[in-house]
Amino acid sequence: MPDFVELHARSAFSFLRGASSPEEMVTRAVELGMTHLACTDRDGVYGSARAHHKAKELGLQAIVGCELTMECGCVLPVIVRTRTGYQNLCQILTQAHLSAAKGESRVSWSALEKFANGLTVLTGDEDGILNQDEPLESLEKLKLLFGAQHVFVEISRHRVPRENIRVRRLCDLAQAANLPVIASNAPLYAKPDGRMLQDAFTALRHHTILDEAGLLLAPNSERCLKSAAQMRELFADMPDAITNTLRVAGSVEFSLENLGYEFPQYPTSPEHSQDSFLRERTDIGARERYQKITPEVRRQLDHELALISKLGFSGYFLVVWDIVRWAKQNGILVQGRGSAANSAVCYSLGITNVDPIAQRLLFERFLSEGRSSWPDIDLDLPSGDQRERVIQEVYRRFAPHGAAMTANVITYRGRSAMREMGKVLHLPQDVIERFSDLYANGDFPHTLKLDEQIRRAGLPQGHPRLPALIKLYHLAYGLPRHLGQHSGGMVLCTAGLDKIVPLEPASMPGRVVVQWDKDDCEDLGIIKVDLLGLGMMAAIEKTIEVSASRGRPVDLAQLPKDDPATFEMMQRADTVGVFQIESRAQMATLPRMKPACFYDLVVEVAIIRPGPIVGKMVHPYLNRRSGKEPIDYIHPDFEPVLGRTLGVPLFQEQVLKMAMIIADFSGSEAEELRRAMSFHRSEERMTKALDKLTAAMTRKSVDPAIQDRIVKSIRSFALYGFPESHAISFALLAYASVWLKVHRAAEFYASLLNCQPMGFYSSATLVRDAKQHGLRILPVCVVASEIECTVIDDETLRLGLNQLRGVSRASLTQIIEQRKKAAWKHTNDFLKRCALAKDERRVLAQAGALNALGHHRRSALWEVEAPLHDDLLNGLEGSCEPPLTMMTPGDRLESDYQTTTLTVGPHPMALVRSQIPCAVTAAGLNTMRNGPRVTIIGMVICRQRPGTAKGHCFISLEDETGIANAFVPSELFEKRRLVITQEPFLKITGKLQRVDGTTTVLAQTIIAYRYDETRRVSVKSHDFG
Amino acid sequence: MFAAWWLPRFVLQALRVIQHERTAVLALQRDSPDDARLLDVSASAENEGARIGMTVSQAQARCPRLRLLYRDEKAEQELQSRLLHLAESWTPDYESTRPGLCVLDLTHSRLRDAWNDLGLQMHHDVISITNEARVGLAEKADLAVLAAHIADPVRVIHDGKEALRELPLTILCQNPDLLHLLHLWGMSTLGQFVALPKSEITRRLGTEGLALHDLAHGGKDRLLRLVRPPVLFREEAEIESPIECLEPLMHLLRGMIGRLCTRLAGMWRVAGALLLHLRFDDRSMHERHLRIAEPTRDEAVLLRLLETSLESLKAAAPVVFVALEITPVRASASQGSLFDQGLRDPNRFAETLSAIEALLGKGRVGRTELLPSRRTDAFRVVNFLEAPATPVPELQKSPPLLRFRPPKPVRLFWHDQRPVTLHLDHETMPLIAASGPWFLSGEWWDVQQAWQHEIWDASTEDGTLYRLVRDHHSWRVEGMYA
Repeated sequence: MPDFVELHARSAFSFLRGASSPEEMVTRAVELGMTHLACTDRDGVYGSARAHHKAKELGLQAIVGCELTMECGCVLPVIVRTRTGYQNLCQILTQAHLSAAKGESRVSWSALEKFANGLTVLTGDEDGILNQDEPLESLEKLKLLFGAQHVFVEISRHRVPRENIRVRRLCDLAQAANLPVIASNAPLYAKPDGRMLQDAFTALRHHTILDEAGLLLAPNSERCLKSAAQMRELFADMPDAITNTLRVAGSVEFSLENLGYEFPQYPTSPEHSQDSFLRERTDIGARERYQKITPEVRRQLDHELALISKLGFSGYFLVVWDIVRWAKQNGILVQGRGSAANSAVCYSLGITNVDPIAQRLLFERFLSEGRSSWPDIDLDLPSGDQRERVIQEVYRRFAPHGAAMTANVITYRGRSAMREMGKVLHLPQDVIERFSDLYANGDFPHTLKLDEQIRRAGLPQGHPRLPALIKLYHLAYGLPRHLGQHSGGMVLCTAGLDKIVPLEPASMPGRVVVQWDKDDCEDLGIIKVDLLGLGMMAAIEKTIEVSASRGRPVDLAQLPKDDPATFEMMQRADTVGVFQIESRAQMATLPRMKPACFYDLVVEVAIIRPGPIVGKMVHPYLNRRSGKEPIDYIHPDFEPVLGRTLGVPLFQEQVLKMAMIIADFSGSEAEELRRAMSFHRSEERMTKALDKLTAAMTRKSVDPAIQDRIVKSIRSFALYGFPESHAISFALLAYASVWLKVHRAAEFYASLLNCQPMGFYSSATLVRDAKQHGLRILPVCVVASEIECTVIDDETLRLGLNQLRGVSRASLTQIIEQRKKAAWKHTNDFLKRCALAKDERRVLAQAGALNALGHHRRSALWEVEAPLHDDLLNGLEGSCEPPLTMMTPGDRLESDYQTTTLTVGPHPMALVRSQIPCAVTAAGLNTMRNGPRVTIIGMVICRQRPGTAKGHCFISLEDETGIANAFVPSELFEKRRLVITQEPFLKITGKLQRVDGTTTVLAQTIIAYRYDETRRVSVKSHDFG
Repeated sequence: MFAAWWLPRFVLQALRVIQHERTAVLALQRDSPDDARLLDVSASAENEGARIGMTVSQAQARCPRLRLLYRDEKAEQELQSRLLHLAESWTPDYESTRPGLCVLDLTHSRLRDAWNDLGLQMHHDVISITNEARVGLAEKADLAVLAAHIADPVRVIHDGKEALRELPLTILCQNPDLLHLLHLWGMSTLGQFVALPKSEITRRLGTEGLALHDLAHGGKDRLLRLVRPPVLFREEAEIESPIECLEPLMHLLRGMIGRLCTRLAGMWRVAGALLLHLRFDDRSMHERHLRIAEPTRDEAVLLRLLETSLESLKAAAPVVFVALEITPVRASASQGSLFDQGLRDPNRFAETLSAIEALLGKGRVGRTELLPSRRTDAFRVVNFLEAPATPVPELQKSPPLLRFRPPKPVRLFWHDQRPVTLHLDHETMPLIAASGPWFLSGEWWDVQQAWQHEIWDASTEDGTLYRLVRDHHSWRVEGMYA
C-alpha cells in the first residue's frame, strides 16, 4: 500500500461535475504510482464498471463509492467496504432515483438509517455537509448512522489563498466531534488541463456562458489527481490526514469482481431442477422440430445441455423460452437472432428458427467454457406496441426490481461537442450551425480536418477563442453527455437487480434502466436478453394479418424455399422495401450475386457490411463466384470450413474453426480471437490476439507464407465479419419479405406504409415503387380511408388517414367513429361532427381528403376556413360557389408532400421532365451501354459515406422511373460538400458504368438542380455513414 | 397627394452593401438556431440562388463566395432617421411607416410641379443618402406605398390601379400564417386577392382580412401617424466675443437654464441630467454630463452644479460655442420618510462629487463595485447615484492589504522552491517565513484576456508581511498587510 489513497475522485459520469473518463482517471492514477482509487460519482455508480475494468487491466484496485445528494441538498461521499455495503448503496440509490423525477434524486436520512451498514462516509468538499448550518450536529448524526469509526472529516487544499482558514475550521470540528480527518484532493479531472473542460461544464450546468460564470468557475487547475508525494507535501503539517486514507482503503473488502450476481432462475415445480426441466423442455421441443432425433442431434443436444448446466445457464434458457412462448401465445411474431441460432437447444425450445445441425453451425460461437463474458440471446420482435407488450411482460414477471433495460451512454460527438463548447464560449450561433452542416453524415469517419472545418464554419484563424475551442472540443469528445436507454437490452435477476446495480427511471414512462450500459453489464458477467424491435417483423406480421383477412392466408413456416419468382426479383435487384437486401449497396451486389438458393441469400446478407462494392473494390467472393478469380482455401485443411464461401472467410464461425484447425485453439480461445477481431475493439487487442495465433501456428510448423495469408485473411475479415447463424436468421426474414412482395404485393405495401418509419426508403419511394409494380394507390379520403392504409383489391391500395401529418391520433379516431354513426352529408356536416382543430381541417382540405364531399382542394380550403355557426340557418347548408380555382398539378404535388410527405400523383421529376431533355432517366440508364457521359437529375433519397469508403460518397437520385445511383469520389465530394449535403435535388454528370448488371454513374460534376423554387418538395433523405 | 419613399433591401442598405456584391445578412441575436438564417440577401446573391430564410450552409451551397454580415440595428435606425430628416425637408407631415418606408403627406404643400417631376426630385434627394430608392405618388397614402413597390424609380398612380394587380401579396401582409393560407388558396398577387368577395374574406379572415382587402384596393383615406420631432430641451449659443473667464459664461448659462426650466415647467417635467458642451477657439471641445441626484428644475441648484463642474476647468483658448441640454424626467412622487437614512441634500452631495471629479478626472470618482472574478483589481467604479448591482458573493476574508500602486518590481531568491530573500527598493531583506504558493487564473478561454498568478505571502525580519505575485514570469510586491 502506498502513502496515500485518493478516496473522493469524480469522473465525467458525474455528468457536468467531472471532466475525465473513469479510464483516464485510472490511467493517470497508475502513472502517479497509486495502487488504489475510489471513484465516487454523483448519485450513481455509472463509471464504476469502467473504472473497475481499466483498473483490473492496469493492476490498480478500484474502490467503489458514490456521492449521495441528500434531501437537505448537501452531498455525502460514501465508500463501499463490503458486499453488503454495496448492496445497500445500490438500494439507497434505487430508492432515491425511483421516487423522484429523472435526474433529481434525493436520498432521505431515513434510507441511510436502514442501509448505512458496510459504508464509510466522508464529509465532502464545498458541497459537503459541513458547509451547512450546525455542522457539529451533522457530524453526530453521521456517527450515529455509520458508526464513529466509519466517519471521516474530509479536508482539501487546492492552493487557493486563505483556504487554510477552512481547513483549520474543519480540523477543529473533527476534534470537537472526536473524529479523524482525511486528506483528499477531491479531483474532478485527471490532469490539470481538465480544468478547462470542467469550467465549461460548470457554465453549462448553470446555463450560462464562461464570460458570465464569474466565481462559479474554478480558481485554478488544482482539482486534478495528485500523487502521494504531492499530497504529502500539501499536508506536511497533518500527516495523519494522509495516513487515514490508508485506513479507509485497508477496510475495503469489496470490489466489483464479487458482485454476487446470479443468473435468473425459472420457477419450476418441486420435482424438477432447472437442469432437468430444461432437458425435458428441450426434448419435447426437439421431437417437434426434428421429427426424428438422430444420434447426431442427440449428441449435440447432450453436449449443449451439459455445458449449459455446468455454467448454470439453465434458468436463463428457460426464462427466454418462456418469454418466447408467451409472445407466441399472444400472437406476437418472435425470432431469435445472433449467435443463439448456433444452438440446437435454442432451436428445440423454439427460440430460434435455424437448425444449426443442418446448417453445420458452430455451437462454440454461442457458448463455450472458459469465456470471460456470457452471450446474450437476442430476440427480434415487431417494433412498436407489440415489442412494448413483451418488455412490460418481462418487467411484470421480475417485479418489483428484477428487470431493467441497460443504459445507453450518449457521448459527446462532433456536433454536440461543438454545439455545447461553442455555446459556453459564446460563439455566434451561425458558426455552430455551419460547423454541424459540414458533417456529411453523422459522426462517421470524417475527412475534414477540425481546424479547416472551423475555418469553413466562419471562425477566423486568429480568433482569440479558437485555441480554447479546439482544446475543449478534443477534451469533450467521447466523454459521456447523458444516459439514455438501450434500444432493447434487458438485464434480469431473480434475486433483486437493485442489489446488483442501481436502477433509475427512464424518460419513457414505465421503463426502468440500470446505471451501466450493455458492455459494462457484459464485462461484469450480468446476463441480458435483447428484445429488439424490427420494423420488418411488424410489417410481416401485419401483412400476414391482412392476407388472412382477405382470404389469402400465409404461413411463414411453410413458405416454399425455392420460389423462382422470389429469386428472380432478387436477381433484378427489385428489392425496395424488403428486409436487409434493399440498401443501395445490396442492390448493387444482387445482380452480380444472382442469388439462386437460400444459402446465396445468406451470403448476400453477410457480404454487405459498411464498405464499397464499386469498381475495383468488388468483393473477392463475387469475383470467385463469377470465375474471375480462382478459388483458394489458403490451406488444404480449410477446405471443409471455407468450401461454402469459396475460400473467403465470411462468417465468424469460419474464423473460429480456422483457428481451431490451424492453431489448435480451444473454443474459448477462438472466441477470444473473434472478439478481438470485431472492429470496434482496439488495435492493440487485435494485434495481441493475432500474435497468439501466429505463435500457435509456428508451433505447429505452418509455413510462414501461409501464416501470413491466414493473418491477412482474418484481418480483412475484421471489416465485414458476421455470424453465420445471424445471417441465416436475417436471410429468413429477407426471403419472407421478398416472397410477400412478389405474392402479396398489395398487402405488403400497405403494411410497409403503416409501419413507417422503418427500413431504407421513405413512404414516397415505397409508393412510387408500388406504382411501378402495377398497383394503384388511392389518396387519403375522409369518406373511404380507414386510419391505416387498406387493401381494396389485389391491385389497389387506399392510403390511410395515418399518412396525414398534423392531424392527431385522437382526431383520426373521431373521424372514423363519427363516420360509423352516419355517412357525411356534406362538408359542414363533417366539420361540425368532428370538431377538429383549424390546422387539422386545413390539412385535410389541402391533402384532398375532403374532395369526396364535392370539392376540389381549394374549394375545400375555402370551405374549412368559414366559421361554423349552429344557428337558425343550420338547414341552409352550402354557401355560394367558392371563388377559388383548382390547384395545378404542381400545387397538388406541393400539397401532397406537405401533408403526407408522398404523392400518389406524378413524381416531382415527371412534371419537369420536358424541361430537362439533357437528363437520362433512371430507367433509361439501364438501356444504355457502358461508358458514355450522362447526366442524371433527381430527388436525393440517399446519401451515404461509409467509414470504410475512404471518403467516397454514394448518392441515390429518384425520378419518375426509378432510382439512379451515383458514385462520388472523395475529391469531388470535398469540393461540392455543401451542394451534396444541402440540396434536395441534384444534377450529376459523369461516366456511366454498367458492369455485371449494376448501373452507376461515376460523378464528374455535381450541381444543384433548382426544382421550381416556389414549391417546397423534398423527402427526408436516408443519410448515414 | 401622398408620396411614399421605399428603400428596398433596407437591412442591407443600412450596412452600405452594394447590390452586386454577393452578400447576405444574419440576425443580430445569435442565440437560437433560427437566428442563423438569412435575413436579407443582395440581388447578386439572390441571382445565384440564395434566399431569405435559408441557413448559411444552404445559401453557401448555391453561392460559395457569399459574404456574411451581421445585422446592425443601430445603422438601420440611423438610416431611417436620415430618411425621415429628408422627408421633413419636403413636408412637416410625414409618417415612418416601417423600417425603410416613409409616407409624405403633400396635401398642404404648395408644390406646383408635375407629380412625376416631383417624384424624380424626391428620388434624387433620397439616393443622396442611400444606394437604391423607389418613390411612389398617389392620392392615398397606401396607394402611394403600393406605387413605390412598382416604381422604377418613380411611379405615379392617379386613378387606375391595374398596374397593382401583379404586385405580390407579401408587400401588404407580414403575417406568415395568413400568407401561408393565401398561398394555399392560390393567391399570390393583389389582383387575385381583390377578386375575392369582400364579405366572404371578412367571414374567414376577420378584421385582418378586411384590412388587407382594403389595402389591396389601394387603401382607404387614412390619417398618417405623423412623426413629430421631440421637444428638445437644448439651448445653444455661438458667441461673438469669445468668453475667457467663468463669470460671463455663467451669465450665459443662467439665461439658458432659465429658459429650459420654463420649458420643463410647461411640460410638467424636471431635469434629470445636464449635458454641457463647450467649443473653444482652437476647435477643442469640452463635454460634461452631470447627473442630478434629486431631479429638479430649481434654477439655482442647476446653476450651482454647473458652476462647480466648471470651476476647475482650464482651457487653452476662449469659449466660442456653448450648448446646454437637459434630460427631462418626471418628478418623483415619493416622499422621504421620517426615518430615512438617505442623503440630506443629494444635490449638494452630487455637487461635491462633481467638484472632486473635476479635480481627479472623469471616471475616477464613485463607488467601487466588485466584479465576479478572482483577478486582482477586478472592480469597476460606478456612479454613487446608480443603484448597486447584485452583490458579488464574498470571497474568504483576508487581512487588509495596503496596495502598492503600481505594484513594485521585486527580485526573489529561492531555496528549496521557497523564497528566502527579497530585493525591494534597492534593499535586500531576508524572509523569515513564506506561505504559498497560491495559484489563481482565469479567462483562459480568450488569449487576449487570459491571466495567471502565483502568489506568496512572505514576512521579513521587521515583521512586515508582503504579498508577492508572479505575473508573466516577473515578480512584483503587490502590497503589504496592515
